[in-house]
Amino acid sequence: MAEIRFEHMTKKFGPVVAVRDLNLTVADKEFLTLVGPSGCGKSTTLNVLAGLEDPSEGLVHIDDQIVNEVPPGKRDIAMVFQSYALYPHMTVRENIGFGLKVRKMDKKEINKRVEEAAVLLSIEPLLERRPRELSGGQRQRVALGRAITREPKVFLLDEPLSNLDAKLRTQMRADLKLLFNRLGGTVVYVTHDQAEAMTLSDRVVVMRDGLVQQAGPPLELYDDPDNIFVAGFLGNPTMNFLSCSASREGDQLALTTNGTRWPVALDRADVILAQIQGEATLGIRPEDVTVALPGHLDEERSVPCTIEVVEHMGSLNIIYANIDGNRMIATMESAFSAGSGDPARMAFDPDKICLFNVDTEDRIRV
Amino acid sequence: MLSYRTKRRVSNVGLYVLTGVVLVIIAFPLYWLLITSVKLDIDVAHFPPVFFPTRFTLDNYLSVFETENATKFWVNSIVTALTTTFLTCLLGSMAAYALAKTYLASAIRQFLILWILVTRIFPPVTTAIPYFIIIKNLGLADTRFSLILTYTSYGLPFVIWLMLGFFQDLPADIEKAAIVDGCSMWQRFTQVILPLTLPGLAVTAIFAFIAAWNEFLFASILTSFSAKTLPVVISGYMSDKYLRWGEMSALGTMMIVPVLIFAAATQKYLVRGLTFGAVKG
Repeated sequence: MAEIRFEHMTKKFGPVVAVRDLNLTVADKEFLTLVGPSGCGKSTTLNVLAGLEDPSEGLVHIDDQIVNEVPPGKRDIAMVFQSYALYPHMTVRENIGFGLKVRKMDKKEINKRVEEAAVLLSIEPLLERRPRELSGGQRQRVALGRAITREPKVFLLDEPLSNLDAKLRTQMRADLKLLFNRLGGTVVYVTHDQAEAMTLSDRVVVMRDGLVQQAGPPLELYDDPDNIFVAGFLGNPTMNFLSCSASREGDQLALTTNGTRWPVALDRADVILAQIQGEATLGIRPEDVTVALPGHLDEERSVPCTIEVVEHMGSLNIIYANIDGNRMIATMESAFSAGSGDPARMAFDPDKICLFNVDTEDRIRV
Repeated sequence: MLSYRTKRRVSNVGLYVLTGVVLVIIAFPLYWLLITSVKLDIDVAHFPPVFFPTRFTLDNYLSVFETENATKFWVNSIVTALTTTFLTCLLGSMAAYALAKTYLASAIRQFLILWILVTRIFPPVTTAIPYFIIIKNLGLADTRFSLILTYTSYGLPFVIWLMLGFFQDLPADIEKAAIVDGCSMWQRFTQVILPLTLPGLAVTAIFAFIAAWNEFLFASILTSFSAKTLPVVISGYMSDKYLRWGEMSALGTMMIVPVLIFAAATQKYLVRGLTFGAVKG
């Protein structure tokens, strides 16, 4: 059992506030990912949890114990670093067993645990090698091995896949998921890669400038973002954003940009208009945008556009289209072929539209 | 017009010639020392100088051991230099480790790092007289201990500065990993940090050893007979009555040997140490 709780935790470095008033609970056996751009405070949060940094204010609990004053070695945590941080002068076996040796565990028991971890991570043939003789992926496995032999209450992973090439990263992502499903510990994972956050986690916390922007299950954040930042950060290709004027048309809300009336009509215009000053940002995910050659879409529910580029990704097409100077991205699974400059029509799925306040960038909820 | 290949050949020959000239300039004093130690007295005093002697003798070496009891001074030099090297490396690397980390406020650290250099900014001779008086009053005159104390205090700034660079070059994550693994500061230092800076430590040790081994000023002031070291003994062959080049060269030649042995023993680390930090590995 290992529940983690941050209570009004703030971390400052001189005048710079890295994390501001963080209140967050990580449930026992939960896989929680802190995600955000560089400098958002995610690694600082992890370092505070590990005990490598002291919080400037607030409390950190692991289970029912306040750990602010507990040294890192006594917190029963294990950490995996982006740079792997293996000890270059030790063999793989010594690296994996080092934490246990420091704790003065019996040699036989250390060997047993090291070998179990090696089997789990498929690195048995590498046990007598030194880190410099290993590839990036193998080093990462050794770093994971060092963490899991300790059988800690909490695993902390700081961008563990960032130094790997794209293909290996995807493979390791799946391996990590399997591994932690099997181990079942509480995991706090830090990454700037939204794909890792989406695929690995039970819950994602999006951070920006030291503040939590939104926390929740990955799909909830993806489908129902609280603000433009979260909406734009999660998803690849990123969500389309359009600045538009909002006005009433009967009972419905009409959205226009430079005279182009977007093919959506939203109900409850009064409620929406009460929250904005006539301007709004419309957000729609690429997979909710349909592009078709003229004649294939209902003219009433679509707008004309010009194809810029079509990227054929195999099972998926990414279409870049231009509407009066606004670039829109659509992803479609069906076969689509058009050349640059070809006229086409575009439609949005009205149920999937997100509206955001222009000033606060917060979601306008109805 | 010369072809590219010919040009490259010419420039290679030029480089070899240049290397040869530099080598001769560096090696000549050593050659001169060596042949003077085995020349007959008559050849030593000959003018024009005999560059390639045809007659050799080992009398100078025998004389050094028979008349001057060189073994005793050898032991003095070895004990003083080795103990100094051990102490400066041990204390210096611990101090450098503390200064390389952020346990102290940055301003204090910077101040300490600069303050440590103070003893290196004036010529040692300026402190010779006060030093002599202090050592004499402490009853330590003419003891190896007085030399070890002096060399260690003068050698520490150098060791601290060198080791500081090596410690600062280490990736921070490795130490963080050791902290999370539960190492105390001493365990981190001895089991993780020091083994990683071993090449740097080897270079530092060689420099510290050479500095103590060759030191003349304090050795001549603080010792008179029992704790005399080799440089002082060598200078003793020069007086207003005579100049014994042969014995001087013989002892000089023998003085080089331990440094060569020490350097050979640490050479494995030396090559890596000199390029440490140039590439990450």
